[in-house]
Amino acid sequence: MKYSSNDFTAIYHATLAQVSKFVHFKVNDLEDAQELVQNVYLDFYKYICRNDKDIDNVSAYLISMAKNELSRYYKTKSEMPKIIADEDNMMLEQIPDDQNLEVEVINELSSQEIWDIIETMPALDKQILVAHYRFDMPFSDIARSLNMPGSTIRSRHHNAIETIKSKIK
Amino acid sequence: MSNKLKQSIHDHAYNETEMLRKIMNSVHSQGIVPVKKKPFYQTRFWKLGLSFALVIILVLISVTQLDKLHLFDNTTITAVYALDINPSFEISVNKNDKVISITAINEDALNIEVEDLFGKSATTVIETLIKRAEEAGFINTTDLVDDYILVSVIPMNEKDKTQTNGFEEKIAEATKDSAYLQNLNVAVIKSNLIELRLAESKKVPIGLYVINGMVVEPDGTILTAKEFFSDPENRATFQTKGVIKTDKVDRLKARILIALGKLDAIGVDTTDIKNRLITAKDKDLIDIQNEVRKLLNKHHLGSTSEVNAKDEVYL
Repeated sequence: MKYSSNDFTAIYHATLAQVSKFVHFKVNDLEDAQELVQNVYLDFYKYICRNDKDIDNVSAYLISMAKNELSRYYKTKSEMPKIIADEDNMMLEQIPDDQNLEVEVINELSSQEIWDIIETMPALDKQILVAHYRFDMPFSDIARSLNMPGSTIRSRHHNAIETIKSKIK
Repeated sequence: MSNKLKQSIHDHAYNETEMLRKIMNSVHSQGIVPVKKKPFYQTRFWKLGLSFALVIILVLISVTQLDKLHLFDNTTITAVYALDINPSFEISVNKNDKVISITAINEDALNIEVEDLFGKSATTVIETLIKRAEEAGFINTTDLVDDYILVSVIPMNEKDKTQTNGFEEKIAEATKDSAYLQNLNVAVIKSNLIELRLAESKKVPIGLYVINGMVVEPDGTILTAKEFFSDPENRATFQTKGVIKTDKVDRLKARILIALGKLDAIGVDTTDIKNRLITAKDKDLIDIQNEVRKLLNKHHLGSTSEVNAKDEVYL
């Protein structure tokens, strides 16, 4: 075994965000996306246990494993990432990126309460929130990753925040 | 941005710690164990290479050496022992002197069972065949006529001579352990494949072919071993080429005493002969043997062999 368990853990922490981000925008369901990422790392662990070969570029190798995993996933789920029609959200084009004030209000809720609300949201809204707050991606990058207009992303985000705020009594 | 929303999403989406825990749980539940790097001599490539090399070496050895050594071959005939009692047999043996085949060379031999003797040692088979020949009435080890058994030793090639050269010693050893063989005179003669083939072409047992080469019969008839060795001159001639393991003195004295018993039974006074027999040896013993045989014939107590026998001569 060329890589030890400690090497695996180090590689995992160093690459998880990149691999997760790659998978995140290609699977609508968050649970499925997380499971898929776990499978990628499980397969990677099996590979390094059984092989003595050096891997030139671990990140690239993991991404190629993720692509294979996604192919299998699409075959079983018969699902492709959905693209939402833009016209529904065109009127929210002017919503600003900075929504700190609204977010401050949300701080009155507990972490679990917030997540319970997020769980009830449409997959796309959930996807945008996770991309923005988990991977610190600006709306423009999220829009590019989802192949959507930036205005759509911003409006969906705004709606999601409003939904959470509406739950505060 | 540090706030509850961000914290909640970090806790619940792609949680690094939680995901790693789940991955490692799967690793353990699936029994995935890191494979330790094998030493080079345990690698598949090395094992395959080594196996291939060994096979090549074995093939080369078997092609070049094993055929010569007969290491694993117990069915190769390395020598033939031709036994002439009469009957006559050719006993083929392997390098371990174990009998592979027995061929009956004359009609008398056809009447003797041999099938149960394959795989036994040559000396055991020879002794057994002699006993069976006596049971069939071809020899009588209890009368006063010496019985001669001729064994011709033929190696299959030069290197097998080591095996056949030790045969005389093996017969001597077997005779020591066998009271039966001690009653007999076993003559051993070395021969060769050329003589064997010539004898076969003339349909004459090899042993008789060799010993008859030592005498010239006017009518060209072939003498049996018994006929040949019953003539002291022939025995003397034979000693120049072969070896005769002669009867032991004590055994001959015992046979003479048995014959004297037969004479006592019909009232012949044998006291003088018995007194002389006690101290007799060498030529005196042979003279007593001839004297007693003649007395048996005179009183019609002699066997056919004893009636027809010539006088024994001390050599």
